[in-house]
Amino acid sequence: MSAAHWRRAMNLQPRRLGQPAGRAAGSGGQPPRTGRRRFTNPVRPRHVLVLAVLLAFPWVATPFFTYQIGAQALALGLIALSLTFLAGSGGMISLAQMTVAGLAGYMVAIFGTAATDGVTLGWPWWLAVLIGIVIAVVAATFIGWLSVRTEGIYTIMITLAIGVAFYYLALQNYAVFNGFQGKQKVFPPTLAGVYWRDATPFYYLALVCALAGYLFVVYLLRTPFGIALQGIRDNPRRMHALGFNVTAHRVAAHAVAGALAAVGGVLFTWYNGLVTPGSVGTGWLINILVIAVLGGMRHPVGAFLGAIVFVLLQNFAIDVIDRERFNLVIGVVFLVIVLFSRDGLLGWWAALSAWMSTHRGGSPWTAARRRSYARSSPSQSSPS
Amino acid sequence: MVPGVDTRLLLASLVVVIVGGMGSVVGAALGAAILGLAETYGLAYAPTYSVVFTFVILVLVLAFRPRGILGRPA
Repeated sequence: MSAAHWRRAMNLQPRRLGQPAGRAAGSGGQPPRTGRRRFTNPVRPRHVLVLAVLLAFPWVATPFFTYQIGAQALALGLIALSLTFLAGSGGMISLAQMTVAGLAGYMVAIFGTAATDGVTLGWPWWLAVLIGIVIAVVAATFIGWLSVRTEGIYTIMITLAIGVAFYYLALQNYAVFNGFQGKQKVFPPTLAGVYWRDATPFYYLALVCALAGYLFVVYLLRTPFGIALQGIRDNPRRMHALGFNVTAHRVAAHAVAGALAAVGGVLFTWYNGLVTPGSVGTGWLINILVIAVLGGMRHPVGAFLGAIVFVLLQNFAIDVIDRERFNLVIGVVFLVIVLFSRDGLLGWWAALSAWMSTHRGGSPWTAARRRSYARSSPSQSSPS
Repeated sequence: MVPGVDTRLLLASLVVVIVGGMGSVVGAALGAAILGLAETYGLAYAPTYSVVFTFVILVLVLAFRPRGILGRPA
């Protein structure tokens, strides 16, 4: 779609807000499938199994695994989930998700308590978290409003530019952001007699937030808004012709992703106990993209799978090979996963379930899943 | 020359090409002039935030001309 189309879409905004025709067309194409899906029980044995494993994890694992691996993967997965939602369902690759997350972390440090120079207002933690998330969502909406006019590599560039600009701002500004040192000792509060930075409580805190975010995205993708968003990803021009406000849907998707990233960012800041310019630098902006691509973008669960692999590699690649070459292992594993699967780890899962269903006769759900993957893969394989 | 200059130059040249407009030689020259002047004047007048200027210019250009200053609409 050309820039002229975008401008036209922007100018037509006020007239299209009601969009009765668009809604009728959107629900008219879908009723049999969504109707049947809604009334079958969506909970499968594997969901219960995964939930049980997640809940029991802190009791069987050491505190190191609970905190460094489990909680970190959940917090990072939540940030990556925002990118998976934007790129996989909205077709917009934004590198600024870590910036939004870092901004939320900085705001929590600034409005809450942190043991450093610069501004710390020392407000109660819940107020600081709330303000941090609100400011991050406003920033994400602004970033979305700027970046949805561009497409392809220009979207990536403008979000990267915003991310790098914020990095340098945080690095150079000592009055508010405390420069290179950032904000130290940003800890979660002690509440109901529990210190929430201990391994097990923090793991459950991260788990509840991550599950809420995951279920919210899964739910959102089945609402009219989510279906319209996926339609816009596949063919913006046609959705525009149907009467949908393409720009408004895209900006709204950025706002939703911003809220997810903000919650993940607050968790990640609490996890680290500090927020520095380094945690919003180019390296981390790209790490979030790596996590999302690694896990796969066709389903929200991919973000968490990617985060687990990423965190495990970051922690244990150094044991496989000597201290100076461990980045090589990380790079090779990423390369192998991306090279042999078009859609990260989720692509492997799809291939495996397809293979199982052909070789063993297959249970109904594997066959159905294979069909649904076969149906959705041509449209979802190219998020741009 | 020191190790690490490559990243700075690569990023700077990419920003120049994006600001000028991809596929336009005149645009690249224009982008280079704008960003070079902005960085130098930034260093002179506001040394703390001069690095931010480059990216603020990139954001502003992309916000108002999504394909760069001289980029052709495809």
